[in-house]
Amino acid sequence: MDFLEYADVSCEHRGSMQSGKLKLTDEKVQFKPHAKSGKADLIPPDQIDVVNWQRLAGSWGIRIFTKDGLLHRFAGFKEAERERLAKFFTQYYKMDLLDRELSVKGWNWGAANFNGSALSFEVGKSDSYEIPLPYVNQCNHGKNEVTLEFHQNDDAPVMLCEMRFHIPASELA
Amino acid sequence: TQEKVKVRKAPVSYKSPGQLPRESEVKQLKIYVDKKYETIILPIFGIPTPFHIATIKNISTSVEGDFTYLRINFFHPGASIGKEGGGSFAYNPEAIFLKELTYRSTNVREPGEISAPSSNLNTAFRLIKDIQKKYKTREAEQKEMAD
Repeated sequence: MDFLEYADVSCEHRGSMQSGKLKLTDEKVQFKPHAKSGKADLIPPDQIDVVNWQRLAGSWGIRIFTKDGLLHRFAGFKEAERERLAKFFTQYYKMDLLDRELSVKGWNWGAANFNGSALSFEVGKSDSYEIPLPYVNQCNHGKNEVTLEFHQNDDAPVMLCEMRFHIPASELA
Repeated sequence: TQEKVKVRKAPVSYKSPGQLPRESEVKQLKIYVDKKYETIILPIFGIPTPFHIATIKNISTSVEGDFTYLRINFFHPGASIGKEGGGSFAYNPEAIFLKELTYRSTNVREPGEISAPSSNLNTAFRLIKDIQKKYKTREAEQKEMAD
C-alpha cells in the first residue's frame, strides 16, 4: 500500500460538497474536483495538525486540520474504510486518525471555541457544527449579539446566508 | 423563594448518532424534517445538524426576486425564554445560543430538475409548522394535566 485513491468522494467548500478524486501518497493529500470550475486542494503531510474520522454530509468523512489553522473536509467514505485510512495515516504520516463524535442532542446552545480559522460549537460535551471563518463575509455585533453573514455560494442547494448568536453578558466582559 | 418558570430538562433529539435519518436530503445538504423524532436537520457547512422542535421559536419565509428565504428563530435568553411556554429549559448561563439562521435557495428550475431548489425550503416550512403545532398542543395538554 503505497498510496490510497478514492475516485468518487467529495470536498466541502462553502456549504456545498464538490465531487472529485482524493489521493493520499507519502508526499501529499490531493483532491481534484471532477468539475473544471471546482476547487482543488493539496495538503503536505507535514502540515497536518489533526486528522479526524467523523460524520460528514450524511456519510463518513475525514477532517484534516492543518497547522496554518485551516479545515479540509472530505466525505463519502464507507465505514469499513476507517481502518485502511487509519493504517495509512499511522504508517506514512505518523498521525492517529481520531474518532470525532458529533452531538445529536438537538440543542441550540453550547460553547464556542476558536481554533485557528475554525469556529466550532460544542453542544452537551461533544462538538457539533463548525464554521470555517474564511466563509464569513461580514461580522456585526450588537448588544449581547453577534451576526455572521456568509459569502454566497450558488452551488449549495440551500445556502446558509446568515447566523445570529446570543452572547451572554459575562462573555462580553 | 419559588421560581415562577419551571426549569425542565431539555428534550434530546437523538440518543445516538445511529438514529440520525439517512434520507437523500440529509446527504444532499438540504433541510430535512424528522417527524418521528420531532427534529429539524439543518445543513451547516457540511454537517447535517439536528435541532429539536422545542428549540424553535418561529419560522418565516419570503420571496425576493429569484430567491426564497427561510428564516428560523430559536428560543434564547432575554425576550423569548419562558414566554409562550417555550425554551424554559435547564442550561448553562455561560452558554452561547444560536438565535437565528437564514437559508436561501433559487426559485429557478434548471433543465432536468423536477422542481426548483427552493421547493426544499417551502416543504421544510410546511413540515416545521406541522410538527411545531403538534408539539405545542401536546405540551399544553401535559401542562393542563399537571396543573
